[in-house]
Amino acid sequence: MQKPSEKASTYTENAFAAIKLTIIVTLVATPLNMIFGIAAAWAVTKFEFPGKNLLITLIDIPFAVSPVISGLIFVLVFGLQGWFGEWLYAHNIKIIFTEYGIILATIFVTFPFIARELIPLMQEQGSEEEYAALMLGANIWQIFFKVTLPNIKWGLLYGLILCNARAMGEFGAVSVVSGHIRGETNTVPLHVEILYNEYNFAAAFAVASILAVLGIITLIIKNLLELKIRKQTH
Amino acid sequence: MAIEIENISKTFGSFKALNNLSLIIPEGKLTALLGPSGSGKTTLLRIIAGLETPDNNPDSDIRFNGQSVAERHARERGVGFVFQHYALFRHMSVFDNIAFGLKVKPWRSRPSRSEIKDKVSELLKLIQLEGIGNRMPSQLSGGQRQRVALARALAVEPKFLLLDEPFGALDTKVRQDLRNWLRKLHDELHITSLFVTHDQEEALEVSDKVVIMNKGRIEQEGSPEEVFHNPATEFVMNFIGHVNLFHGRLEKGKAVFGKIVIDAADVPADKLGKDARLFIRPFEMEISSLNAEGSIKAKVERIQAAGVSVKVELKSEDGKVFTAELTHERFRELQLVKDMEVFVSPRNTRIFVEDYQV
Repeated sequence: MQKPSEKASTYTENAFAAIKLTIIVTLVATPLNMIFGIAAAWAVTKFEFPGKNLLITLIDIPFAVSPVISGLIFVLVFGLQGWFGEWLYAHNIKIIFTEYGIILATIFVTFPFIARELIPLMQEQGSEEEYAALMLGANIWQIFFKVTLPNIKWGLLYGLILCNARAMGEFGAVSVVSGHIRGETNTVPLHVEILYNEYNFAAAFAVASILAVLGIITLIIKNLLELKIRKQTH
Repeated sequence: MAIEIENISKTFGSFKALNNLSLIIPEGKLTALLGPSGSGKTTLLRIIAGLETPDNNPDSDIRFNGQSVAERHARERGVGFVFQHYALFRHMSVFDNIAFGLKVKPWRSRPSRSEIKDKVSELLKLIQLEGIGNRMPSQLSGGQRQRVALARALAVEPKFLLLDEPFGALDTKVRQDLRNWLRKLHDELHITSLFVTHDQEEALEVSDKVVIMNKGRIEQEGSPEEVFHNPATEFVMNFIGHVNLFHGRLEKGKAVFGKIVIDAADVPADKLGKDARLFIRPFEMEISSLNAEGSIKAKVERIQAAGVSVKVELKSEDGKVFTAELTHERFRELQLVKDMEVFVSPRNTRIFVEDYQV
């Protein structure tokens, strides 16, 4: 049996570990999804290639499928009994029940947010400015950083905020792949669930309120951005 | 420097946008590519620029001043391109838009900051927009935007200037002004230029040479006077200016179009009895109150006197409706009113019979 003071400090430690993990997951997943999202939107809107419609459909899959199923698919692919399970075990790589699994699941679930935000915007803007830059001698990087990126920056920021909010709050897919190891693979939403299931309501609500505040801040920034975007387009 | 285009075809799916087309764009001249939408004129322009690749064909080639550029990337062709909807960089000021081409040069050939500034001021002066360098494109009128787009293309000193429907998105008055301005600018710079338009008036008024395209082929090329007065094909006749069309038949020594009979002494025997089409320009219709030989009787249906000339809609005895154009003076002389009976005779006619022209 732990003494009450020790117990309290373990609680604090576990809560901090959960917050830390959530921040790490978000900091890894959001920038990666920014790159994937821009690449996907750029490919879909500025180029013609076979399989384009298939790619657009693939982008939507994380929205269409329940996150729990996404989590289970990760277990199916990377779990010990999964397709790559033996190979991963032989090479001493652990994905399921580790932070890596959580990061992968989060990236998958939040993938559409940025691409879906950028595709209609870039479609509406068309490719003429890019062609104009090309005719003026700009190379592909100059075209992207000097023409495309400045044109989509507000839409991109909006997508980043939504992606970030979802990455912090993702529960379903992460719950399946995490294994709920306290202090190790517990994110904030999972930690809230554990505390709640243990009838530790005060702690559960305390941690939940952190998430809620983060959510409200996100909404405020989102609305400010919407105003800004509307002013820019009209 | 001239542009030579040889045996270029372009197919989009099953649609043949360009059909084995060859053309020479003369050096230092302003050439117009004229045609209805879907004739392939913009596709040709984009192929010259390198924005579109032609169908693979060993005989095809594009040469700039004798040098093949078919394999060269659009970026390296040294061509200035002005887009129909300006395509100005919306997040950059007018200054930065014009300076863009200079700023993206590799550092070895990039001019210094002050050189760029001088160049941009010089161009702003050329397009008569001094002092608006720090405005954003959204704060400019359509005509101003088009001029900025032109300055931006000229900043990198291209060998050729290609313009895609440069005045297409502007209203009539601005169009007219900008058209004259472009002509004057070209007379100053003498840069080999090619512009696409569907507006025949614009093409005839501004250019040194007109190339008329239809269905991916060239129908006729020549000076504006040539294509206007000597249209080579029925399509050109129809496309350039207004025209009255009469259907008829070739007979021995003559072509008969209802009451209009035209002498055609040397009709080949195998063309006899063939359907023929008679084209008469409205301003080449002579209206008279007296019945002369070869004239047809017609009734005035409608008079439109607001304009440089008076347009009169007439209906012949056999019910054919056509128009005639006459000067205000002649109109007053004749004292034309609605439902009045007059006699009409063509001053100049063109007859087309399948691949044969009388």
